[in-house]
Amino acid sequence: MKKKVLAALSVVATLAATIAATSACIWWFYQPEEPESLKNL
Amino acid sequence: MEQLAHKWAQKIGTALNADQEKIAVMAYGLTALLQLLLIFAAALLFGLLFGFLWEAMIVFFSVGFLRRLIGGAHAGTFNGCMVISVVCIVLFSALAHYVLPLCGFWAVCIASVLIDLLASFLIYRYAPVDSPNKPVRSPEKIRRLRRGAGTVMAAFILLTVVLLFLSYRNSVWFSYIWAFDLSVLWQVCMLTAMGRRLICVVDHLIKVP
Repeated sequence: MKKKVLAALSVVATLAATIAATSACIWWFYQPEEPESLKNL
Repeated sequence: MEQLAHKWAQKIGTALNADQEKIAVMAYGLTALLQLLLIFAAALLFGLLFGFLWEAMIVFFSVGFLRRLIGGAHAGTFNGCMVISVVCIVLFSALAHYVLPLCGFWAVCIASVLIDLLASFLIYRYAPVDSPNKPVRSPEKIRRLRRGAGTVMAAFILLTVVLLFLSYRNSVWFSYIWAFDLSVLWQVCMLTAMGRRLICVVDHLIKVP
């Protein structure tokens, strides 16, 4: 059960990262360093 | 806050046997989600406390949507971003709700036209503005972001026109138009060198780690 929850969180986090990577900025005023694998999106 | 996101990502990644790159991606995603949720919660809280909820939501969403496509100046830290964002939301919402509607219909009309013209020019001239942590180099991505920014700006202009028509008969809509106008004006100023300098100065003054 715990692993299912963590897997779901991992999917949500990865989806958020992918959506953020396709934009010029995450949302408001902070932009953390983008991981290498997302730089070409 | 960013360290918290990294910590959570590390825990999730370790439990799922993910490699470091996948953990970094999760940390990036969690940072984005935390930023979005915390600023939304702050906008909701202050909006409810001070009676300008709708204006706060308009500022939150309109700045966010526009920024995603055109970029702009950034704070140096997550917490600095939180402070600047909350101050902006509260200030613009308060102005839009309590002060600017007193100027009347023609003032909001003229201001909307001037702000939309200025915004369209600045977006055409400068967008997208990237940051060292997220460079935008690919010509295809730049073209895509500029097309998206044009579409969003066109939608904002259309929405402003509709709100102006509604406000001609009922002044309750003034505050929403002003909230839009201030958000757009603020965000396009962040594309300019002056905007970047302002954020640098504010970042330096507040010195939040």
